[in-house]
Amino acid sequence: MSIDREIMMDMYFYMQRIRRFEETAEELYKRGVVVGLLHLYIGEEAVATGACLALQKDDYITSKHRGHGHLIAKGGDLKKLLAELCGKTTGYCQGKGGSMHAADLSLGILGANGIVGGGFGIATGAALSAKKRQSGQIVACFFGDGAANQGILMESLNLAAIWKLPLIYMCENNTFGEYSRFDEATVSDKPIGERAAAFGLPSSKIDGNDVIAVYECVQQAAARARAGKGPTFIEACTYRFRGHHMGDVGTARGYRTKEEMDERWHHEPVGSFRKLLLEKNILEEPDLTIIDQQIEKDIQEAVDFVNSSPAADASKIAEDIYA
Amino acid sequence: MPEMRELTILEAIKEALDEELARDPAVFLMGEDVGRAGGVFMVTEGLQQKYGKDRVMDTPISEAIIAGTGVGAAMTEMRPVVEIMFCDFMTLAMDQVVNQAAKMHYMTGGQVKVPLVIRTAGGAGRAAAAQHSQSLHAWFAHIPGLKVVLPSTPYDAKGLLKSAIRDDNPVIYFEDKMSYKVKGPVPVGEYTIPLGVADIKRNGTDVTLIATSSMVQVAEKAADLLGEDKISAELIDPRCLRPLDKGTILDSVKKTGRAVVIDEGYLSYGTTAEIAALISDEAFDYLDAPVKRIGGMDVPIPMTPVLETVTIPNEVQVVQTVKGLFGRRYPNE
Amino acid sequence: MNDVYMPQLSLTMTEGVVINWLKKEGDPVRKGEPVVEVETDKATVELESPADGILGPIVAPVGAIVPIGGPLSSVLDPDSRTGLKNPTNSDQSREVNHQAFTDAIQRVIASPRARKAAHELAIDITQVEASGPGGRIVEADVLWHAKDRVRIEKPVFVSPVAKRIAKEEGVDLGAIVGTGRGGRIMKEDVVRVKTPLPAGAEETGKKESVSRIHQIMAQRLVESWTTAPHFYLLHEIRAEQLVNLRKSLLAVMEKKYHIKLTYTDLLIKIVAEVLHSHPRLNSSWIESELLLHDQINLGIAVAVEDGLVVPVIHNADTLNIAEIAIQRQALVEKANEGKLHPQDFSGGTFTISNLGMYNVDSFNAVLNTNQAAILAFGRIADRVIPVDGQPAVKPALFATLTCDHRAVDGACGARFLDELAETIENPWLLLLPPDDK
Repeated sequence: MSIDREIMMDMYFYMQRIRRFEETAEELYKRGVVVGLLHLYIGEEAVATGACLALQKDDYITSKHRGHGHLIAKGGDLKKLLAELCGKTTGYCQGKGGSMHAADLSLGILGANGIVGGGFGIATGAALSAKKRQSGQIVACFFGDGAANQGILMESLNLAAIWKLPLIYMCENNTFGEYSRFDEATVSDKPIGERAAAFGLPSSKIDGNDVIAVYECVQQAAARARAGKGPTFIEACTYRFRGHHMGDVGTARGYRTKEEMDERWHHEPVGSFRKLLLEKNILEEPDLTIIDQQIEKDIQEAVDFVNSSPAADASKIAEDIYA
Repeated sequence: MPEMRELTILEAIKEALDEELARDPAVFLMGEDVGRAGGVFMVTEGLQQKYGKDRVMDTPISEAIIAGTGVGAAMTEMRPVVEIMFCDFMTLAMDQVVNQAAKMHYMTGGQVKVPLVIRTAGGAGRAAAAQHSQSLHAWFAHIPGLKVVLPSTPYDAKGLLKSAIRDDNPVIYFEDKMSYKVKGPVPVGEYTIPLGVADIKRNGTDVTLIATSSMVQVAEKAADLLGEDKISAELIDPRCLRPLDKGTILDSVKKTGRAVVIDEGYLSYGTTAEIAALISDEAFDYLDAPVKRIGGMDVPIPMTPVLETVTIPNEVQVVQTVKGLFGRRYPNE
Repeated sequence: MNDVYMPQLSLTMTEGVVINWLKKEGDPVRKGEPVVEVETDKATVELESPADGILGPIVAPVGAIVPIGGPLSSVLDPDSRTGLKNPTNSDQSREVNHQAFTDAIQRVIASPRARKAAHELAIDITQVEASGPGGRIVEADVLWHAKDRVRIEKPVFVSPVAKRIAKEEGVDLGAIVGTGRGGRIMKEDVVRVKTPLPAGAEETGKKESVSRIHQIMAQRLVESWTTAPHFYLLHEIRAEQLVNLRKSLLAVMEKKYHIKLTYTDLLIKIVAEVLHSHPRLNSSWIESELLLHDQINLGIAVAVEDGLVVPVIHNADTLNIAEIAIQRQALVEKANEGKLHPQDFSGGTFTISNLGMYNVDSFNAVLNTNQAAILAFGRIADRVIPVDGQPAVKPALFATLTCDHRAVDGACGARFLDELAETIENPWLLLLPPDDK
């Protein structure tokens, strides 16, 4: 393995961090502490982690409604994220945005987005801006297999291709678009990346549960973008283990079976990577435990932060309509 | 007293763009055929030659991504001025304008700013038919987070556009494709007009006419005709629908007691309804007659000029409406 | 389709006001059934449906001022639905609701600004005449009312010089009473008005709003006063026989006709008889021509709450005293209740005004429009009168005859008054045929 041990530790750290955060959010939602809509990223951690670790701190990302993973992997603050989910004024967006609109401009996170495909325009614009300013920044646009069917993707691919924008199209194919299976909603006898190929762009289809594969692929795409050669399309295949949103429980909506979920769990990325690290003697159990405990501490800190934060202030409701 | 010269609205807009491109390197223009061709209405003619392809960019025909790119660039330290050729095509960009641009600042708790200007052109009168003739500014005035500007004179056009470009919020700037040749005095030198301040284009005592964009010229003609019948009309041009200068409008109606609102957008559920409701709400006891509205006819705009003309408000309509507000004793009898 | 329209209800009427809709759009109506109340210049009148059917759209809501012949509504065939408003059309249903609303509540329609002005000026807004669209009272109407202006019904001629001066000086022509021929406003009239009042002559005191009837009456008087050259003849009449005559007839009138006989009744009878021989007194001067009337229709001036009305007893010369008394009583009652019909006060040829009950000795009455003469009676009182060269105290009354000098000259008027006096003093003369007197 040519990847630095440090980076491998980071990979485990962020994936486990995302996993534990999502599980905590899930629990708090059931207890009524997290409010609004919640779309869990459980099972997809490798995509966000592998990609964000391949980016630089000031690179931009746009995310989707299922956006906690990208924000955490890019270095986001768990306290502020959890507080935002709980509608507190101490949250990232003062409780006004919620899960779907969480953003951290200081980390280049241009926001999760409530519109499927809502990130394409913003990512294209950010890439254009970076190119104009010659800042060396690039943009990773995270979207799902469902968003790949929004027309604006085609418009973005075309424009980014002709203007050679420093953009990476990160398509997370998590097998489901809401309550439909991927192959019911999307032409699937060819990879999604063939759409990019139609615009003359390079594309790859990779195992999204293999964090290293994701990392390496994004590294290449980032180098290409920074060299001014234009965008790259990456389809990372993974599996969504929870429902589309918190209200979508188990197999009630009829789009998959329990057997399938159990079978796929054997390949879930966090556990798989943990096993890999131990098997390859990259890390030992105690190391992992230390990391786990650090994460638990951070999570507890976030929960305490939420409990001690004031609820949203109605007197501020009309603030920030205009800058 | 600054030196004045006469410009057309088109020249005034171009001058504003030219000056802002020169002043701030973050400003750039983007749109379909705005660069080499100089814009379908020739508004941006010469600017690409002067500032280069990097500052004045031609795009494919993709309204959604044009607007979306504008949003993304505005969120990341640029100040784009994006053109959507006809306001009818804003429909293709609605998500970017309404769900992204308008709300980004608020949804992110104030972290993100979107200093984006979208220039677009509305107005009927060229036999361009239903999909190229609308005036849809009311849709955008409906959305919190946007600012909506409609200039009616060259002086207003230049001053308002410069302010729009310098504003840190998304501004939709509506030009009227039939008014590019309207002439008027414009001072030499730097000036801006703040957004959200109405202009009293004419003082009067008997009725308040509130008109937007090219309807200001219609109202001026009507005011002249009314003056021949000794009815003195006050003409208010809001200039900005959001934020709206309510104070100037209400003060005027409280004085005259009568109001007619004229806008080229479809009559129903539009600009005139909002302003009329405002007046009847906050100036009720000062009203001597119901507030009247004149708008574009509620019909998809027909192509053939003989029919098209009927759908656009004209000065005769305004005069007849105003006269219907009085008893048999005109105020100056 | 049958129209419900504003009819001409008197010679001088040019327009009427819709007061109250008794039926609403869509109601079934029968021919002859009252559907709307309108106010003319003299009284409130009910208009009847011209046919059986359904009342159609009401185009003149309460308060609307409609010219003669103008449309109010229509009566539709019961099977026809055309013209009735489609409730799903929001524009029209707004109108229907408006109508139902005003029917239900009978409130005055006035703009908020007008109400505010009325409040500030302490004016009763129900007294203001509306000139706005749909019968709405607008601010200008309130301000107009506040300056006590009377609406001029027919165009008044204004001399060119007067017009120019008025315009230059900003004088309101509507406020000027013309003294020229036919009420024309002449230069002097304008000049007189524009001279400012001396300081301290400003208006003080409380304004009282008057009814439409009052305003109309005022206008009539001005018209008459300024058009006809008035002269007056006074005659003292011995009333002893008149008093006896009344006493004699009181009981039988009470018992048989349940009516209290008044002096006015007797005077009506006598005047009607005497007029036979003096046709010029029973005439009208109209457009430079003398029109001698063939009927003797005596108007009796009756004071009602908001003015003076003059109901008419038609063909008074053909009626006996009982008939006269009964009619007189009925008319006075109706006048006090505001229920006079147009025919009750149309066609008058001569007018009697009796202020005896108010202890007035004598007075000069103003001519009624288009009549050549009016007779004013004072009270019957004990006076010192020569009898056989010696002073005696006897009942007497003063009669003052006002004549339009264009129709009647002094001698003519005097002859009538003389014969009248003689007949009152010697009532048995009524038994003789006219020629024998």
